[in-house]
Amino acid sequence: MEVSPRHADRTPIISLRDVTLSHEGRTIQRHLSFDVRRGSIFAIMGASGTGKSTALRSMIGLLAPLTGAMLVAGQDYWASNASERARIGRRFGVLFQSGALWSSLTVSENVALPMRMLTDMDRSTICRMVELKLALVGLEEAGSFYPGELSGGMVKRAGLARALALDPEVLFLDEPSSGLDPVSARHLDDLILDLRDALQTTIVIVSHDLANLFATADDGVFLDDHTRTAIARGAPATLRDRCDDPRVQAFMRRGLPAPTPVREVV
Amino acid sequence: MCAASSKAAEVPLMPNWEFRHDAGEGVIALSGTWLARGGEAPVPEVGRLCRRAAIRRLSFEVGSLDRWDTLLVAFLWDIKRGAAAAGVALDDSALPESAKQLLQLLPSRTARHPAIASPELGLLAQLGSGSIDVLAEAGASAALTVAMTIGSGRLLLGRARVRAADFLGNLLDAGPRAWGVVGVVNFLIGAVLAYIGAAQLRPFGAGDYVPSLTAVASVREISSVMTAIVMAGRSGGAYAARIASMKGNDEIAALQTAGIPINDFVLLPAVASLCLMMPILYLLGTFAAILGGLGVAVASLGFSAAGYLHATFLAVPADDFIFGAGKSFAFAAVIGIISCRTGLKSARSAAAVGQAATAAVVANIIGIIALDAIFAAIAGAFGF
Repeated sequence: MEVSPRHADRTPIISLRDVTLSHEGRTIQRHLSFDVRRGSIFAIMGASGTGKSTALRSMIGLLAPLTGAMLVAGQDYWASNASERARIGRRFGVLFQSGALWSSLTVSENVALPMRMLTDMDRSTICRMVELKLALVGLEEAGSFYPGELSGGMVKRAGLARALALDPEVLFLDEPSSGLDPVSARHLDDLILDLRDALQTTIVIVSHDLANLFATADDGVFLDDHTRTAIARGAPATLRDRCDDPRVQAFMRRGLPAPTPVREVV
Repeated sequence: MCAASSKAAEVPLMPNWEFRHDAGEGVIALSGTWLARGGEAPVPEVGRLCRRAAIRRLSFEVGSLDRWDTLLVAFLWDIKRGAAAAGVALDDSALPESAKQLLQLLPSRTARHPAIASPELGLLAQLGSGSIDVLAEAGASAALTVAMTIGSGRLLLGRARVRAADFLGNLLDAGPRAWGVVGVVNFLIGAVLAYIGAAQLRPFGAGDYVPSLTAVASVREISSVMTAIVMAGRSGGAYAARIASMKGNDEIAALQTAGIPINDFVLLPAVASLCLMMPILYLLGTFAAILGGLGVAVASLGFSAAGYLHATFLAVPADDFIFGAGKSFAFAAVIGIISCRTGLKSARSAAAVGQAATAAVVANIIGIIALDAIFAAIAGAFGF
């Protein structure tokens, strides 16, 4: 990631155009069309089993859509050849739901591996960069631990440090606060905001944790499991306050009735 | 913020910094392109510079700074820590806003070498600790053996809490699904024995003993050991990996907390099915080895099939089959116990699953050979 040229730009960095996703012959989501603007924190929302993580897997290049296109900075990702897709993929950082740390490597080695494999950085610079990334997520003293020795919150933060290893342009976070206590989840929310503000990183969050969504996301899309498509678009707080779709309201208010009548905005 | 990208041609591509000072005020002038992917970060020896020039306050100039990423932040963090250690006030007001924000997230002091090492033990203490570990492992394995023996008894009486589907699946896996590999391996071993036997015995006019050599070697030793080694790799490694994986996924913990005995639910189906099937596999392997010898003898050594089989039946008493089958049963128990124990004591990670499978196979093979040597010594002592 290069910080300097990014700032004033609010153009879409990722655009989905009429994307239909399927898994083992079953349609998960269809006709998805939305833009993720540069520098935004974009939430993919919806109840469990709606295909949020499947949408994320497609956006990070692990699942080709059945139909439709995904444009990354204007370039059709799935129409590109494998080496071009790999080059685009290096602009992404991903925090998987389980952390997905490589269990045979220490935390430091986990963060260092992408730098060793994909850059020309010398050994001492890699060590300094690893120390920096771990310090950014508050894990500077856990570099020599193996993933099996970490708590759930530490695994998340280590996964985030690894996702930040190459200063990604877009950071994908799959259920970042799942399994965390409220204090750790809040710290992670603050960290996500700090990273977005400081690094101007575009962040895509898949979550059904309302506190996490309200605290961080400034844009998003709501996926519905009944119609199997996106039924609302906007920041989580906006959807909560101004969207009158009962499915969105039920999700945003944990099934409780809205305090006042809401207006249609979608 | 940083200069526009059009300035790139006017400034150096490499990261550059310069230290100036005047009357206790230090300035670090940053210039050039600070990108991590292709380069190395300069190391600022801030403490030494500040002490030498008696600096009390340090600030920055970024007028010639071009594009940058976290390489610059790493450099600035070094300065922040150096300044804090030297008691120098740091003025970051001239820095790009986002760099300033990142710097605020980073601590002024970090433990570069955190104290997480275990206390060092002397040689004697290491020896003692190792001995205790070996004894503890022997005790745990013995306890597991006893538990499996009792469990097998309860299984025979229909009182074990074993799912029939699990037991049947394990029986199929340790039995019919292994027939192919066991048969092929023993067939080839029998053929090799016949070839070697013919090459050694014929010069002495003892070629007629090829059938008995092949049969006795297969029935008493080779088939039971080879079948056990095949099963150690095939089933032993799989048991260890499966149990280690269950442990890593907290499935074992879930069974324990639910009050479901893992010995009955997880281990007994594997161990009991292997013990039941191994003697059958041994018999199958023995006949495959005899067939291998027969094929070579008929095709290459001029034996008739009837003559070969007649010589084989005369050479091998039924007791030898019982001895071989008994050994196979014992080998199965060793494979089952070692594999389950290895899986249970594994760590909770993906790498540990692979390590458990490898460790189980190695330990199984050593255990099989050692146990075979014990059987040979006992048989020799009793003139069997």
